Amino acid sequence: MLWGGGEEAAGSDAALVRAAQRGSEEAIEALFRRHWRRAHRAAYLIVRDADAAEDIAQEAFLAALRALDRFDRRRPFRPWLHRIVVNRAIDHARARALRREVGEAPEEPTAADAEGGLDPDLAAALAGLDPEQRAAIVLRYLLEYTPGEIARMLGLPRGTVNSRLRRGLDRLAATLEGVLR
Amino acid sequence: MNNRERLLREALRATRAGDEAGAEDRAWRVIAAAGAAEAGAAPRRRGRKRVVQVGLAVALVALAVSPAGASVGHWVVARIEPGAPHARPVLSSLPGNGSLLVNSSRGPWVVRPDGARRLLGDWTEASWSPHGLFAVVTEGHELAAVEPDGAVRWALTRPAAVGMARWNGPDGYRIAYLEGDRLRVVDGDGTDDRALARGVAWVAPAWKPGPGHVVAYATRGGAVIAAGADSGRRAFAVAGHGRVVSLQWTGGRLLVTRADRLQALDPSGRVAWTWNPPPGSAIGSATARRGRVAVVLRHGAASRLLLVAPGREAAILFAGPGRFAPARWSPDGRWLLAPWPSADQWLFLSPGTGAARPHAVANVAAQFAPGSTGAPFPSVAGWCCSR
Repeated sequence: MLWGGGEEAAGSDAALVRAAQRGSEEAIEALFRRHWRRAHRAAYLIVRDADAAEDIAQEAFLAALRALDRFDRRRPFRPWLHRIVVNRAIDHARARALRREVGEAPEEPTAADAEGGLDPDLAAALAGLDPEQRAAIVLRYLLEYTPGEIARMLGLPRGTVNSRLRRGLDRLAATLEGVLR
Repeated sequence: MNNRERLLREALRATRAGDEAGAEDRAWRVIAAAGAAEAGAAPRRRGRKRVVQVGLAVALVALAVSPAGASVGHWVVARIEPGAPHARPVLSSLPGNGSLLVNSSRGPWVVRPDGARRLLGDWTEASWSPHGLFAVVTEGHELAAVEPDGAVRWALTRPAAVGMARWNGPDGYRIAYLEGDRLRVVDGDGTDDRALARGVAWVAPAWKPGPGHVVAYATRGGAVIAAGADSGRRAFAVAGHGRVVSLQWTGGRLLVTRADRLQALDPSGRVAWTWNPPPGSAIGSATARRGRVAVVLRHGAASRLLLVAPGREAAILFAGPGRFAPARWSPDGRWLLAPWPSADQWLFLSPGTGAARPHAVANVAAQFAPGSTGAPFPSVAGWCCSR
C-alpha cells in the first residue's frame, strides 16, 4: 500500500530502524519497501525526469542506510529520509538549470511524462516553479508535511516555507485552471 | 486545506514516476548488491554477525560524503558468492542485434544474435572492422584480416610480436596496430604497412571517426598523442601522469581512461570533462556510448559497474564481489554486456530501458573452450553492427 495504512500493520519505523541497526536484513528491506515509492515519486516531481529520479532516490537510500548506525532512534526516520531525497533532488534540478544556462538544450519531456505519468499541464506548471518551490509543494502536498515540519527539514524559516508554498500554489493555480478544476 | 490544495494533492498523488515497480526492484537489487559487495572487505563491529557495509558503495556513486576508510553503516545482507542468481547455463541468444567477438584460449569466436558460435582460427586476439564485414586478428608476429567465417583475406608478418590491432571507421581504409613499442599503420587491404610512432604504451590505439585518419595513442610516459596516420602531423599531444588504461573517441572527444580519472579531450586536446573515482577506488575500465560511460570500479575485493555521464551523478548498475572485466555496449546502445570473471558469468544489463534485473549467463569459460576444464575466462573484444 502506497499511502498509509500498511506501516502500523508491519511495525513502526522506529522498530524497523532498531532491528536494522541490530543487523536485520528483513528490517532493512521493509524500510526500503515502505518508503521507496514516495521517495522516488517526490524526486520525480522535483526533477521531472524519471531516470534521474530513480538515481536520486536510490542514492538517497544508500546514503541513509549507510548512516543508519549513527541515526538517532528518537527521531522519526521518514522525514530524515525525505530530507535527503529532497535536498538531492533540489541539487540536481539546480545543476540542470545551470547547464541549460550555459547552452545545453532544454530536456524533452520524458517517456514517463508522455505516458501519463505526469499530466502535461501539471508538468508545464511545475516546470515554471524553481526547484525550491517545487520541493516545498511536494513536501506539503505529496508527502503531507506541515509547513513547520518542512521548515525544520530544510533548515528554513517557517515564513520562507509559507511564502514558497503560497507563491507556488498561486503560480500553479494560474496555470492549472483546467487541471485542478 | 482548501479545495485548491486538495485538488493539487490528488493530482500529485495520481502521478506515476515512470516504471515505478521496475525502479523499485532495480534499486533494491543495487542496494542489496552494493551491501553484499562490501562483505568481508571492510571492518566489522563486534557482536554483529554477517554484517555488510554499504557505505563505500555510497561513496562510489560520487556522493563523497566521507573519506575512504571512514566508519560506514552496518546492515545485513547475506554474504553472497560471486554470481547473479537465476543465470542461464548456456548462451542461447544475445539481446538485440549485432555479433560478439570473443577472444578465448581457443582463439577468437564470433557469436551471432541467435547464440551460434564460430571459431575464427588459431589467433590470439581479434577486433571488428567498422561494419563487421571482417575482423583483424593477430597471433605472435602475424597480423591478418579474416572474414567472419574465418577465411583469411590477407596477412603480414613482422619481426616482433604484434597486437592491439584496430580498424578505423567508417571507411575502413586503415588499421593501426602495435609491434613492441611501435605504432604501425597498414591499409585495409594489407598494403603500405609503415611505422607511425615509437615509445608507445601497450594500449589499443583509437581512431577518430570521420575523415583524416587521425589515430590517438598513449606513450610509455603517460602522454596521449593524436596524429594523422597519413600525414604524420600531430593534432595534439597531452602530457599525463599515470598509466593510460584505454582510449576511445566518442562524440568527437577522446575519452582517456586512467586508474584515477576519466578525461574527455576535445579535438584540440583540451580537457573538456573530468571524472574522478571516489577515494580508495580505482577505475578498471571505461567504455562510452552515446555520451554515457560504463565504468568498472575496483575497491578492494569488490567491483562495481557504474554509469557516468557529464552533468549527472554516477549511478550504480551492478555491484558484486570479485572482479568485473570491461563492459561492452550493444550496437544500438541499449544493452551492456558486463563480464564477471570471478563468477564465470556474463551479465546483460539494459540501463536505458530499465530491465528489472540483469540477464545472466553462467559457465562462460567452458562455453568458449569446449572439452577443456579450467579454461581461462574469455574477453569480449567487441559487439558490432546489426549483421
